[in-house]
Amino acid sequence: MTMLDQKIYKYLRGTATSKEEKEVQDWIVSSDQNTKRFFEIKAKYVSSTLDDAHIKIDPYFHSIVNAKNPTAKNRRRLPLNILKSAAILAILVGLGFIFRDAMVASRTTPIIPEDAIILQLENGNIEVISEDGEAKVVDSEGNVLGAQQGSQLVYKNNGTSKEEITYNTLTVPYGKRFDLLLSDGTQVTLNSGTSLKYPVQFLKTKNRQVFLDGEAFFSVAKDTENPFIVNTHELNVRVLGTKFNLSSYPEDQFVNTTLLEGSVVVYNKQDTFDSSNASLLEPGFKAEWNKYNRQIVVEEADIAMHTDWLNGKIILRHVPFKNIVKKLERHYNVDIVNNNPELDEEIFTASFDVESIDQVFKTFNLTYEMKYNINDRQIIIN
Amino acid sequence: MKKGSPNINNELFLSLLEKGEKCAFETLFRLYFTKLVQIAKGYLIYQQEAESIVQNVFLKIWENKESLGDVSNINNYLYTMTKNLCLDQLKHEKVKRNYIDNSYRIKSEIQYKFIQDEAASLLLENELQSKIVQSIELLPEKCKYIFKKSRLEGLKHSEIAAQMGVSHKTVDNHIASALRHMRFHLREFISISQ
Repeated sequence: MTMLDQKIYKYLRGTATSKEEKEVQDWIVSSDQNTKRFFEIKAKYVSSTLDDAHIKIDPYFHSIVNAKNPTAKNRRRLPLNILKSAAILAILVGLGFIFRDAMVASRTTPIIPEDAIILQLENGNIEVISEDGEAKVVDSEGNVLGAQQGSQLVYKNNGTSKEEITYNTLTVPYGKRFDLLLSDGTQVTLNSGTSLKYPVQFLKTKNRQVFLDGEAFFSVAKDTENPFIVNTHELNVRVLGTKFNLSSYPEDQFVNTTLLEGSVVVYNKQDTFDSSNASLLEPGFKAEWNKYNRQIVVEEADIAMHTDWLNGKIILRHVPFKNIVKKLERHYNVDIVNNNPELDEEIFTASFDVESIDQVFKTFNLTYEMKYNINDRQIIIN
Repeated sequence: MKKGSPNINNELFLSLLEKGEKCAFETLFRLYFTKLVQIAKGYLIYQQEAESIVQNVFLKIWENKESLGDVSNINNYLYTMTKNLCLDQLKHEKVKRNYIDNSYRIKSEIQYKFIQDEAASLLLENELQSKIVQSIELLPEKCKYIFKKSRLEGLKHSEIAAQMGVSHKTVDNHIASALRHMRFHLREFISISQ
């Protein structure tokens, strides 16, 4: 297998890095001959996967044939709704851009305290970080540990041989996101409603440990001697150097770890780490920890659905409304009260990026008629 | 008819479907569903989208079973229907393609060209057919015989019973076990191929 073949194969499997992806795409479009060659490889690849599906097909079968003498409306409702909403949304996403300028203007509302990005220092002092400010992190002796560069907080590795770890905690409110570069070179993007506690400097002799409450994307700097461990309420994720997304909001039923590159192991926090009780993840897969039955399920993941928040998008694929509510609340910094239990179970497929919360609800309303009231930050559905 | 065709384009099989025979439909569903999902995934990328597209394919077949008489080749029919629904989906995405980042745009343009590539289509359709034949061939002998007679050639259970000199009940049992076995087998086959 040549290098190129390998890259094409990774591209087809969806495990290529963004750099490799670009290389392959450039190669494909550079000549008609290459395009043809790629199509042939792809057709053969897809052919070889025909028997690979891991799908529980019984529910699909029953949902189709058990619609006994249905009215046309009921019979078509679910699948067509999904398609319809996808189609409508595709158009709305387009429309959204027209409103973009107006939206950007309305986003720059004056900062109110509960709306602020907050940095809590080791001594308990709190600093408010404005998105375009120039905050500096200084220790008790006046040494500069880190500084804000645009929408990113950067910690320096000043090589001190301190023996005690000091922590900072960064908290990002609903409706915002923020980047962090830790002193070991690990890049973290924090999603809305997330806080991360991390050492100001990592100690050479100890594991690199951080504590997450919410959702973040980690691009961990490689250090084979000092594993990087993300602690959440119930689950720990241990890595050497890799890219992954970890979503662990206290209000969600699932803790999801989605791997893009490298490898990670996921284990129950109550166990001490060893290879027998940990789940190893491969790129393109996710580990889903269910808080209710305390089980880990590893399955192939829809990477975009788990990482598109990095680009300010919300992607929903077959998600029940009750789970969408929390995402919307965090993304738009709103309170949603749903008094319609039937709607909770309704499944939607949609993607949003530049829409306002008004437009989002109008869209839902097109496929599932609901009575709702938007009153500033509160939305009530009856 | 192509070489090695599983013969499920048989008119009688379709007429069974037309009569609303759940078993005929179930056979088709179990043989094809996951394979079509893999093909749809190749066209669309996302698993969930692929599953919902193929669900729609079968829903349409079940809803329009009274008018399947014009279909001459089920393999071709299922493949083409899946492909067309995927193409519709990609066309919808085209609307927003102009607005998204460059790398994704190129990717989705490649997808869009791929689905329209005839050589690739032909290869996929033929491969689908030969995989289906394999699935049937892997049934136990007697089951396979009765299953083919009943589901693929559309013989009545009583006709098969008379041909084989066994009771009507035995044929019923074999058909039931063929379907059960196929369910089991397909699952087993899936895990082996990993």
